[in-house]
Amino acid sequence: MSAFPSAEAELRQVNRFLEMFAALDPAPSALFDQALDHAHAYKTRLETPVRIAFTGKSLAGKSSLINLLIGEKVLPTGKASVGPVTVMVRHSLTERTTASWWDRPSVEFPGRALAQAAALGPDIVTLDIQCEPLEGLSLIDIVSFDDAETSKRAVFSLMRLADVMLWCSRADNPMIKADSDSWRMIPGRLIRNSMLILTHAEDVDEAGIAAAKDKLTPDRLRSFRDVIPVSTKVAMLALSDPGPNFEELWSVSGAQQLVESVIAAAVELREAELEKIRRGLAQYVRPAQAALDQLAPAATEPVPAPAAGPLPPTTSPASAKVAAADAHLLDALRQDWFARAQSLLDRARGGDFAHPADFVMAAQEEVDGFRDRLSETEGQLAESDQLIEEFEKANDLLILLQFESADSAALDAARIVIQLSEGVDHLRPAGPVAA
Amino acid sequence: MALPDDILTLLARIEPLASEGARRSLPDTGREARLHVLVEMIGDTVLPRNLVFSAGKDMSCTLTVASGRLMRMSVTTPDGHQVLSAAAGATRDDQLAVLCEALAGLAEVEGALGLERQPLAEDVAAEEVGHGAGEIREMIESVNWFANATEAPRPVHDGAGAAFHASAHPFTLAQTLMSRAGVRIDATGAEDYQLPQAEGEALAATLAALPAEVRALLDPAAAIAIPGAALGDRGLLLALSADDLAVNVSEGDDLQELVRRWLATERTRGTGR
Repeated sequence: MSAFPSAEAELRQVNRFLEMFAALDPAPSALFDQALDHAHAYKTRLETPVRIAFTGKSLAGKSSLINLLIGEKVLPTGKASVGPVTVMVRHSLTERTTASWWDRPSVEFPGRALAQAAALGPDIVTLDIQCEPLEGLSLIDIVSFDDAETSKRAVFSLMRLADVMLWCSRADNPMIKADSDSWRMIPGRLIRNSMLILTHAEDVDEAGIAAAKDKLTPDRLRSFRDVIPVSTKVAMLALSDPGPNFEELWSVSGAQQLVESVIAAAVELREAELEKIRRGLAQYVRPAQAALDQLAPAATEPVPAPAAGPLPPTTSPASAKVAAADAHLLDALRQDWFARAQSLLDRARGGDFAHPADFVMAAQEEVDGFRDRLSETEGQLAESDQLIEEFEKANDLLILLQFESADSAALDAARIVIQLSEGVDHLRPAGPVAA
Repeated sequence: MALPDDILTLLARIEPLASEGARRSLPDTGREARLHVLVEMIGDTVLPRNLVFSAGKDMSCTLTVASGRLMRMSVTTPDGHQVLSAAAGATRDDQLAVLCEALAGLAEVEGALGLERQPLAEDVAAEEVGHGAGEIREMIESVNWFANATEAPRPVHDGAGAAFHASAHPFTLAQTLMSRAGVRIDATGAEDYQLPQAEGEALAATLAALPAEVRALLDPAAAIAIPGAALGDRGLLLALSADDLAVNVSEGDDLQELVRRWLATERTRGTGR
């Protein structure tokens, strides 16, 4: 998609580092481990399209919306859907279908073989189809939030696969209680990147749409970046017979707004991600690359560093004033986290958690709250990006632990709280804590 | 209902963390105690981490840990850098043995070890299994991995059942290792309970003479436990693997432990029965 910011320079830089490192046999030192870990993670991110996930309950119209964006009926819809499996659709010059599991090798079929792949009972089916407008994007039909088991799978799929979430809910009855219960399990980072799509909007009039929005509490409404009513049938009609009224029908159906919002969200996300990667390259990969260049000066041609993006704060800031401000902010963050952790401990000692599951939930709320606090420092501190990622990862795990058996889940939750405390503590310089 | 004690004990670490800060070194508390701490650290690590231990400027050891499992271990010394788990061999048992030995080596380093906890940016692949803290602990408890350990000699053998024989040794009164044809390879422990060459051959012949259907049950690996009623609480465990046969004489709970260890070994090898 032409609107997407180019990541070529960053990818070249990462690939050069990885290739040079791989050429050194044996590996020179464990000192490169951290840079290598980051370089692999950046490569994966840069090569992965922005992933737009459509989620909600069965018959909410998720597959129809994906078909609408692709412009052809690739996914079966309604009661004919392929069953409880997550389906990813993306652009490729070679059409193929892949059944994948989280924990075992994939099975590939030539061409479009959705039913055949789904019959194997995989966790994900990936449909690679020739569809140029999809370049840079993956559209994902997440398994529906229908019961405890599929909800768990849906949450896990969202955590592993989604960058932007489109919550699909019927316009005549949006965000019913079942939706709200599922909503509680979605990680905050996805809620902040979500849109509510009121599907089947053709079944209600304008007053009905207004009434639907009224049913949402202000808090809930604010949590979406957009609320978009879509008349899928009208949009499909426009697509199937693009006559003189096409633009009007397409616009009235809400499809145009949907396309624009999805692209805007994807571009925004990609830009933010690139900024983060540029900061990470400067912090972890470039110093390691300089060391590699010294080890093997003639191995490859140097690659100019990406020009865009401000230089991140470094661990040795130029001015003492900046250093003092950073230290002050780091200390404030540290105190905030330990106040939250101490409150968990006090409540645990006071017998506040009647069940271990209550503790897991409380821990997740504190972690999510602190993640929000950290996001205020994004770009200000060299440590922010890594900490935000760390707390998001912890938040995801704590959500998944709420599906597990209580005792072992609570023990793992406590371990996570301790690990996060150790990580936050590393923000301060070595030495005794000031009184 | 309050939270279980183990959770409260774990959470109580928050207070020293807040007041004294996170531990940035592992003191030299003695090799056994430090090895125990290392395994505990693996078990307590849920979020993926590189735990980087250093001694001086020339030696460091990185444990890549996630979900209570050791995924990778690499060591840098003045002689070079080596990823141990990748070089450890084909079977999980072989890898586990190499990792345990390396962990023991790390625990043995004199003086405090520097400690840095690095969060991992890259997700650990779902299919990566690693080695759980539980199985590492079990292996460490069953074998003395320290370089200059003074322990009773155990049979030296590198056949298919080697990992089990090593693990079983501390729980036997006597252990006799033979080839599947009954040729004695080695024996340790009380001589009265070792199997002489002639009896080994007779045992091998008896096993070979079993009906084909029964012999099929014994291939490629099996254990036969014979609680010894006539010998008080003493019993035998015959452990057969693809290329060797061990007669383990044991008593009391140790016999049960032998059976448990055999099953655990076979489960690890994926050929349990």
